[in-house]
Amino acid sequence: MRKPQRLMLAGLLGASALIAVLQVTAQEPAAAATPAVLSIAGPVAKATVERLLLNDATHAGKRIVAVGEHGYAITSDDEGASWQRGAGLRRTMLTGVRFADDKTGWVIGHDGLIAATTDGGASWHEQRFAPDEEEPLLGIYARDAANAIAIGAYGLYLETTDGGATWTKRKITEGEDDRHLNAIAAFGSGKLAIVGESGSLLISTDAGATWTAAKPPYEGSYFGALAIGSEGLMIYGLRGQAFVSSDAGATWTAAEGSGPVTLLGGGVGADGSVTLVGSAGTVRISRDAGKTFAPLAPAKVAAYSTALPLDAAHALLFGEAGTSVLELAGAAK
Amino acid sequence: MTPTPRKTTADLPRIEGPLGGLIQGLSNLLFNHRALMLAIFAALTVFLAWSASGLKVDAGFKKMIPLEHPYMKTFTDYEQTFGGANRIIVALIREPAADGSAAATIFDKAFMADLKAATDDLFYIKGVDRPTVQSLFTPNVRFIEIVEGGFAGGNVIPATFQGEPDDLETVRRNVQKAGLVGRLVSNDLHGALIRADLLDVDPETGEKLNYPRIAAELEALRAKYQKDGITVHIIGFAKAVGDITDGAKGVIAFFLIAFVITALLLLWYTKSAKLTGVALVCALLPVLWLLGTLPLAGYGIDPLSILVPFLIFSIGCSHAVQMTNAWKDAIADGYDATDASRFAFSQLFIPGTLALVTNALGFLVIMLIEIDIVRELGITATLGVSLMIVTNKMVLPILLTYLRIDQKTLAAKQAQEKSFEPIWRACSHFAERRTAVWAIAGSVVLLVVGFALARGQKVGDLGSGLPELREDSRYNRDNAAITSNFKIGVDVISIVVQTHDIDGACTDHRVMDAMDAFEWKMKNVAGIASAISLPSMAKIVNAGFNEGSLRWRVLARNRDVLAQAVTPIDTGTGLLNSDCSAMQMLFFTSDHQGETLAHIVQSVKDWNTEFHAPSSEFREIAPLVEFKLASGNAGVMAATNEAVEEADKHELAAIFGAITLMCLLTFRSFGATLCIILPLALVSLLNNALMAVLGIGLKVSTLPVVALGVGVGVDYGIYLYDRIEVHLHHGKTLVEAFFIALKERGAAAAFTAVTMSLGVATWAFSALKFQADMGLLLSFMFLVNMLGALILLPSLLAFFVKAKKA
Repeated sequence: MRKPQRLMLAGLLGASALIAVLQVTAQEPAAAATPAVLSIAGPVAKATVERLLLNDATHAGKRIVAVGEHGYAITSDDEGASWQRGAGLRRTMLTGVRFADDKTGWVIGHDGLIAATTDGGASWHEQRFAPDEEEPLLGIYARDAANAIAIGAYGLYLETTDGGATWTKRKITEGEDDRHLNAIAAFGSGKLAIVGESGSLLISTDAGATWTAAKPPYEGSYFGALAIGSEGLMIYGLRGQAFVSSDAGATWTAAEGSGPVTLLGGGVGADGSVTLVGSAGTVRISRDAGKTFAPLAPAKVAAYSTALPLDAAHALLFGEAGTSVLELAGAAK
Repeated sequence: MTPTPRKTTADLPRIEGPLGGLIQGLSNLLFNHRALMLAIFAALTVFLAWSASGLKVDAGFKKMIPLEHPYMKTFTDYEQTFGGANRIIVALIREPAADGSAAATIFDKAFMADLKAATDDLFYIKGVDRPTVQSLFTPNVRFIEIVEGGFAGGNVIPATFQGEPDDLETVRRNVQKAGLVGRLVSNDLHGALIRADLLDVDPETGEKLNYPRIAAELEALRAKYQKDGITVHIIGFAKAVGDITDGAKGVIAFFLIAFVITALLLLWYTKSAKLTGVALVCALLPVLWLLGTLPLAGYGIDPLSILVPFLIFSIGCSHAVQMTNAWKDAIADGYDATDASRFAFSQLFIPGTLALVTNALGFLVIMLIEIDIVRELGITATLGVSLMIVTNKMVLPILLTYLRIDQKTLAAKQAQEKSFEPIWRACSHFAERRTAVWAIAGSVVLLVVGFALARGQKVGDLGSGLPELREDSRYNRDNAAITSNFKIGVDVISIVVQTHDIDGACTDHRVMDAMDAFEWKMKNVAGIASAISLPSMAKIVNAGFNEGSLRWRVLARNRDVLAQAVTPIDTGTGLLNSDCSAMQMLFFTSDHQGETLAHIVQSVKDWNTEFHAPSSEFREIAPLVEFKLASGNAGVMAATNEAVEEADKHELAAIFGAITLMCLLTFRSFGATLCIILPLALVSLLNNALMAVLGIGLKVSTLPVVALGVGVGVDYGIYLYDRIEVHLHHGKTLVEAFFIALKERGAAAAFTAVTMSLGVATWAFSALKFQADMGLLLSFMFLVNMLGALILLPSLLAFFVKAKKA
């Protein structure tokens, strides 16, 4: 009955994106003269947090660090009840945050931004800012205080071995492949996975030294990857598609009940439960290592970017309406 | 009663004063040719009555806003560009069941059938811009979902919809996909709405939109669908205008009530049906003349100035009472009807005209306020009291010459006056210093308390919903139901971003980025609930082009990529003009209280200062970009509040200045002037305190209250002091002088105050909140000003006119 209609827009999408990329090099140099106005540390009002688009969140020890629009990197030491803003960031949209330990971490964002902290997110130091390249960074992995990997649009891959003093570009995709790389996650022992646009899937079994393209179980885009158990890997994305592999991506099992709405992020709780979130207030929870998912009703119908499990009964949701607490117990029908 | 010797014209006292000759001449002209004069006045009345039949009710929106305020320049400059968004919303909401269990959702065969039928009905209302009609059943409401390699979409309600459970489940899913919860479907899924824009001008006939007709048709729609546990809620400018017009019609009923009350009081007071009749006729005459003059002068009448006829009627009664009283006294003194009229005329022409001119000045001052509706109120009121100089000071005495009054009535009247004397005796003690001290001390206490309370006075409307209507009115209850069940804001302040010499400003990252930064700043201002703007929409489109990933909710630096995100947003959204040199940013506010709006406006001003500062992050682009305050209903309110607050200061200075001048010219005594002015000032302060206590804000409708109240309230002081001065001049002590003055004019003044207070107090029952507020405050001012004249005036005189007493 529902007849999917490809809109003209859709066809144009790929083409115009491509044209845009090609034109990037020829475009006017970005306004280098504009002075950078950097964020100042201080408490963030509840009303502000509620209106802030937050893209990613992680733990830094006990502390929770979340990042989002307008250069907001905010930290909470009371499980999201109150938030402080980190200093030293420009107004750029921040897209990801990961910590190597409870003090050292990185944020990434649009304009090729990378900034690092050594004080648990209280202050940030810009390591990279390349607006002229017009390549947003979308995923970050921090192995330790010295080694980290950042990935992004058009196959962008950056790595550092010196705590971010230098970030080196490397091409890990094959040939003309410039699809967006959306997320990077460690799983198993020393293994890494990168997922991205239109079925992009890359696996490294040597902590990122070499990358191999793997055959994806689904040709649509993936927005996230999670380590499940000791060796498992879950990837998920467009239209709620989610898959689990226990053999480093060789074979995949489709999760049940995760669709049909796009999943953008998620987290694994201490009890092994997997919470995935996405557009239009979508929240799905699995208590069987990702085989089957059940829907949960969040307090607010909004687009969610990720979930950070706090304990067996609660998770923090992040998304276009800031952050809110999700009750994990009351799984709907 | 001792029989009074008959007196003749020769016994009339000589008219004293510099204007004596003039008044004598006027008196001769009027009374020597009374039949001719009466014929002229009658002809004039017939003509004006004919003219009054052409009076139009004229409730233009533009009249209610301060067009000369800079914000309103923005409003009028961009009105055409961004459209008025003359929208109506009809919501069908399912009620909780009778047993208290929660209401069923809209996904129900019967409800869907009603929603479809209501959508069709709304579609066919004449004046509705049909392509803009939106509900779950209109083809312009679609869901779009992102699928592999692109978008997929369809109608939310499929063509095959039969209302079967499968169909309903599909609709439920599509509603979620299309993100319609909060927009077309209520937050809790218990209701759905239909929205439509209205065409201001019928494209076929070129006729202007007939608001009352639309409002009536919407009411018919409500009647049709409000059943079976469904409530219908309707809001929109057209409905509001309809309801306000209906409310204004209620004024006729209040006029009748006021008329009956006044007639009964007059009958009791004059003890004569004839005198009552004459007084009523002469109080109605200026009203008729006024209503006849307005169309000749090119004016109509609007919901605010429709109250002026009341006021004129009340003031007319007041002056008629003074006149008939003086006439009756002269009859009692032994004059015949004509000579009694001559006497009353010569006695009252000066103070009466002075009082009326002072009234007129007070009302004229209202015209300082640069809001058309208030100006017209001022013009109408000024015109009304000016006409009264003719009707009450000339027509009335002529009419009285034809009146005969019997001794029985006279005796009853005199007995009544006798019964008042103890009151006047008591009042006259306030003219003694030892009593006066207490009165003044009491006033000082009131002054201090009033001052403290008046500090709490707020500017602007303090309620929620439409300020013109009562908070519990049908419209405002509908408004509350819709805003609480849907994510729909009704109070919006819009900022117009005007760029200069930038080609394609909306694809210029620097401009869009500055707007984005501004929006974020504003979203963190207390009182802003949400915002819609071109940058925020473009960011969402940009994310849509990137498979809905929130990480792509950005404004691309690249012009072509940015253009791709901006292009789908057409000018119909009202967010940009055709060459995107001007862009409108909409900020929905949590309420429209004056403080909230003032804070928001200040935040915009702060942004402008920062934005244009030399150290600004945006200094490169800042000279080419303006963030202009302000449009939207809340923008209009903000401007109105600023204009009202500004006008308030001038108004007080002007009214008191004018009255002071008039009193100084007439009485040539600084002390006397002060004694008349001070009680008025105290009452004005108390009025402000009352407003603060009752939660009535200073706004367009309450601003003229002080001017009206003071303008009318000064009458008592003038009428009384006029006599006090004469008696003091004849060597009476102040206490005696005041006592005689009270006997002569006190009853009439007190009677007037009570009549007028009761008359305007009836407005308190008006369906229109501003009429109710005005009625309450004016009633207070009329009554308390009278007390001021009876108590505080003599107390002050006791200290100020000591020299004359000796």
